[in-house]
Amino acid sequence: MTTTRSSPLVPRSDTSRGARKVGRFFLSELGLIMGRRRNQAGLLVLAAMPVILGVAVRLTESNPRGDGPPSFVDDIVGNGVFLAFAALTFELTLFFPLAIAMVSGDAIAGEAHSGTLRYLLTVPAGRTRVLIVKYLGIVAGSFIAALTVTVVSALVGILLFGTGPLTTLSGDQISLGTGLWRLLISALYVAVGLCALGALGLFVSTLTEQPIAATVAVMIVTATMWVLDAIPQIAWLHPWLLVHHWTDFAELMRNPPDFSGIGDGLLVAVGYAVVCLLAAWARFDGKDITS
Amino acid sequence: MPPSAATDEFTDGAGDRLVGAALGSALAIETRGLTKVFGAQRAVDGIDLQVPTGSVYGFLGPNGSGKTTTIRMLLGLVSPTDGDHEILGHPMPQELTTALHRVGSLIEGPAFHSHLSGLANLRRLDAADARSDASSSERRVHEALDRVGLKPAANKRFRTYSLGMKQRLAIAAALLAPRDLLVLDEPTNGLDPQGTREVRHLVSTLAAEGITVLISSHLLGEIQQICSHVGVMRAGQLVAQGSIEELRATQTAQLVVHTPDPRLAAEVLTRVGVAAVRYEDEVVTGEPGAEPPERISAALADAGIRLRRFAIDRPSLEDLYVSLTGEGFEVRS
Amino acid sequence: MNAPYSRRPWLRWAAPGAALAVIIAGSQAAAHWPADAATNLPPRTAAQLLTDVQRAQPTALSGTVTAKMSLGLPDLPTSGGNPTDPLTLLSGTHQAKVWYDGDRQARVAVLGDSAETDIVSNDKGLWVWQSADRSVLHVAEPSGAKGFNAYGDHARSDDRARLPEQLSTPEGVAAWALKMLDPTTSVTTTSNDRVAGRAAYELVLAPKTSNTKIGSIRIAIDADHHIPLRAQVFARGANKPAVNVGFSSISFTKPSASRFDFTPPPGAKVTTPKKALHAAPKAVRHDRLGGTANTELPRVVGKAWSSVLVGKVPTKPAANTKDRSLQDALKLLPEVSGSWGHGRLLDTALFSAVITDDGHFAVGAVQPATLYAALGRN
Repeated sequence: MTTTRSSPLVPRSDTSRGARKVGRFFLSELGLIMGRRRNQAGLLVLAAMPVILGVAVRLTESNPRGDGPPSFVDDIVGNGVFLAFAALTFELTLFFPLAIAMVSGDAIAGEAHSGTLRYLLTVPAGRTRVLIVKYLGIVAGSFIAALTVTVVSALVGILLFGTGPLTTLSGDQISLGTGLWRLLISALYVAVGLCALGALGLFVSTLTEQPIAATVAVMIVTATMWVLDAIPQIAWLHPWLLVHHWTDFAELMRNPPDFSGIGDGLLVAVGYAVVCLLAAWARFDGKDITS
Repeated sequence: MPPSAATDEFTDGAGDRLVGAALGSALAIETRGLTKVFGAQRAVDGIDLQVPTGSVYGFLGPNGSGKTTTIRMLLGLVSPTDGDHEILGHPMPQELTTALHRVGSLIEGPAFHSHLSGLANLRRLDAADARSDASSSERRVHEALDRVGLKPAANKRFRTYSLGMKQRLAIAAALLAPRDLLVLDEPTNGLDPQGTREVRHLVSTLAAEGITVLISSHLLGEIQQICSHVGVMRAGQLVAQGSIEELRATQTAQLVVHTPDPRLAAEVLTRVGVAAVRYEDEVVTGEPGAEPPERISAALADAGIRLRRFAIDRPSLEDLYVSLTGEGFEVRS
Repeated sequence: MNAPYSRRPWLRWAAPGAALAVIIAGSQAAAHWPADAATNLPPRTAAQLLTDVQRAQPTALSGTVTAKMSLGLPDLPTSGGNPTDPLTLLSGTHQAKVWYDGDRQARVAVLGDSAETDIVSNDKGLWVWQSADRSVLHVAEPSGAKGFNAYGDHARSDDRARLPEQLSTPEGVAAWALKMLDPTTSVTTTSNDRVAGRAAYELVLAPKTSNTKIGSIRIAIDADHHIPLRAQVFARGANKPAVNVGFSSISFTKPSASRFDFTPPPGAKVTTPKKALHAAPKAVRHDRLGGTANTELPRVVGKAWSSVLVGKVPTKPAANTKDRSLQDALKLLPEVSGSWGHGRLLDTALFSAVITDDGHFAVGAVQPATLYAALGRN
């Protein structure tokens, strides 16, 4: 509303002012997200998962090689850093999407539900600016979640299993430094994927005034995409699914690292983010706030 | 333009003020045919609201008459189906940000983040304002809290506040920046008489500083004494609007005389210029118009008429309000 | 009005709609762009092309080979993540990375889902690494032999451009197809094809007989380096290949020498068969096909495109779970019977196969009726 509706006759454009003042609004939003008990508990659960995984593997060291889905779990015993890769893979299926669904549900639907949205808009915060700041909050949440899990699980893994050079999928070994570097790239890649889901969540959040409904809707969409991605008969659809490339950071564990999966994943993520953010804007900018 | 508080602090707002002033609008709020249709229901049906600058405008109407929808349209929360409006001379919604920065508002009761303190909630709202000045933020937040008497409870969580405190925090939020217009939707809703008096006092203090106030209520009695102007909504339409005096003037005073000599009394009254004189049993009524009551009573006494009761009844605004909006409950669907 | 959509809220939806349209159109354009790029090659006859291929010098390259199998088989669930499981390779899409130094060092990495099989040929011998079970098979050159020359010379005399995984590279499949060339086949060429962004000729082999399921085999040959870039097998009447093996990207710069280094990682199970070097590739293949080769020798019935392989499968099924699941899979096939006996039929786009209840089998790129006839002659 601020950027698109301002009259050209008004000398100062709202956009430049808005951009200058987004910083303070964003910090306030970040404080709001991180200050919620629910989000703090959620982050704790995310960080606890790799600890549970690590301890479980440590206790059952025998490590039988089953016919289950491939993962890094088998490699953890050899090198604790793999606990971080395993944790990222593991949490991507449910816990990360749930965390993002919760934060994005709060973003617009939560504010509408509690009535604070009408005060934000009459402050006036500007509708487009509210969306931008809300999305930046989700983006920050995505990176905080992914990096927290990565750091905690790498530390716990190293503590429990020790570390050293990493054995890649190609059978070659890479130094610990290179391995940690690739781990960081993996974590950032996971975060970008979550940001795209967050854009979808933000759009859903503009559709309802019930934050729980938005959260559930995002989880249903995510679960549906995982299911569709596992059905080989619709392989043509797979490249269009947001989650299809999510675990492709495993390709970094080849030698040389294969970035093509990550590259495709980033393109898909950007595509989802752009379309969903524009849809969120289209919905929110014209929405009647009656709550 | 009212003398507004601390204008120099908002140097970048001054230009906008000039734009507003240059348009020469003597109306703080003006709507033309403002209409909102929800589905098949015309919630607001082509109203022409005119809130003069510097006035305290009582926006009256029973619950469900379209007041809140109108206020939401004024503030850009709801897009009008038809019609247009200006706030402080700024066409809406094109200059929404510029206009709303000078408008403090309270819409349908207070709403804040319950896990944050009152202070933190106000800081958040100030941070959200694209035009507020970061360096003066702390001072303005504390001043606003002080103004509504919430300083002692500033650091308590919002969820621990009483209803009155919540209402006052919402008013504090409306006062975060220097305002030219306050839009207060039912600010006394749910308050005890003491709280209602406090809010009334605060509003009249603010109005005395030159801030235009639009205050809505479904009870005329709660705000009548502080209003300079009144608009009455009924079923989505603005059925009356004007200054208190103008509205009073539309009301005709009634002369009522109780006497055992009604026929004679009627003759005397007609003679001294009382209009529409009628009598029935021992009661004579008429419209005294501009005739001073003492002259009428003297004339009756001179004629030797025995009086049991002599009164000039001036109907209250409440009577007018009831006659406009109907009595009791009214449910529209 | 300055805001065109303040009274037409739906106008805003044009923004996400347009973005979606651009993304879909862009992805389609990107997928077809290399094929649309203009190439302008002078025509060449089949003979010229074949000569080119014969004369081609081994060239250093690295690239990605993509194999897409559309045989009409149901997609089998990938088990254990081993990307070189032969059952898995029969369906779906597979990728392998290939590096070749133009001489005798090569590396093929078959990519699986979080798994990888690497075949490395370097001066220490041949290595096969499987990440799924962390196993290494190492076939070293006999001690005292100078370097890897024995294998290298052998390879060179036989086929200079031979790579270890002979049949899964375009070169391998093309070589196999070239052997099929005889009067039963019409050979034509097309120019101005494009594979992996490179200009290429195409050699088209079409059976002259109609008694085969194969419609044509098309082999794309790089216009500069004269090496096969892609091989496609079309079923009769189909316009999409049933088998499509080719480079999806290729570069002719020499890979760094370290690409061909291989040291078994700590914790890997290393097996070193004590066999003569020349037997090594066969041993590898033997191992990978599951050791069923030593039973009754199969025979070929019929000629060329319509030939049928007839034989007998080992009577006692192996006890491991994979073979048992194979038995279960067999039960899902339709039952057929005739004068030749009773059995089950696998009918795919390119070939069909019959396994009789008494353990005989017949397989060929032909209609089932031809198989029954071959069995009947048994």
